[in-house]
Amino acid sequence: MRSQIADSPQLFDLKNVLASMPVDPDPTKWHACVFSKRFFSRQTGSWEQRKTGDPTKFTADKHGQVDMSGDQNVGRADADEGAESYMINFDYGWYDDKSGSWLHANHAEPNMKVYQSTLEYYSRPLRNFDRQVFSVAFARVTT
Amino acid sequence: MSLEQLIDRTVTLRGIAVDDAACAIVEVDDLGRNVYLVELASWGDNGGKRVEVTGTLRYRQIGRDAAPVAGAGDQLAVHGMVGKRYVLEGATWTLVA
Repeated sequence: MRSQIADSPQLFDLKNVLASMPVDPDPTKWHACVFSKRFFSRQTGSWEQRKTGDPTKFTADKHGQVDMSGDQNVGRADADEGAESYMINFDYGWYDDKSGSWLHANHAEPNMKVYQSTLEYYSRPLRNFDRQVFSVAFARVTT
Repeated sequence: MSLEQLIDRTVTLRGIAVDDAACAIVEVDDLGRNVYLVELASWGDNGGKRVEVTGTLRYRQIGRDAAPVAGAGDQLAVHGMVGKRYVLEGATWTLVA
């Protein structure tokens, strides 16, 4: 695995690739799942400060990777609603490789609705978020 | 008249169409407040345009409160929005000039 990563022009200089691989060395037992997260960049400071984003946070490095270690799932301060009101704090989307579409939801629990969307729609401009990342997770193949 | 005085009444409001992660919203003219059209997911190509909306105005929570997670350590983040919002139920809308 280490040599395969080192030989890959897409992977060799990315951080944490080897550490992110499943422990099981047999890749036929994995399934790679792509997902996305939308969120707001300024997650610390006062409510007043958190009305606006922070252009220095959660930006991609030269390889396109984003350090998510500071993500605390804190929503944007809702300036229209007054102090201590916060917008929806994040949105996950899951890529369905069979249909080429993205599955996401309406943020309501109960009465949750799941949407099947194009990437363009799932990523449409929303006042809540100013960042979007894409990630890969590994699921164990059981059938 | 403020929105608070119109709660539980059928109202017609004008403003700008904006998309929120919860649903389509209207930034109501002159009031500096947003009204959530919870039955409409998105304005689509009409985002940013002026609209007139009619429906029953409520003031309530949408979904669940997001739990405070800053400094929460290993606690799972709870997804949602904090605070009540003005909601327009049974809303209909049209574009206006």
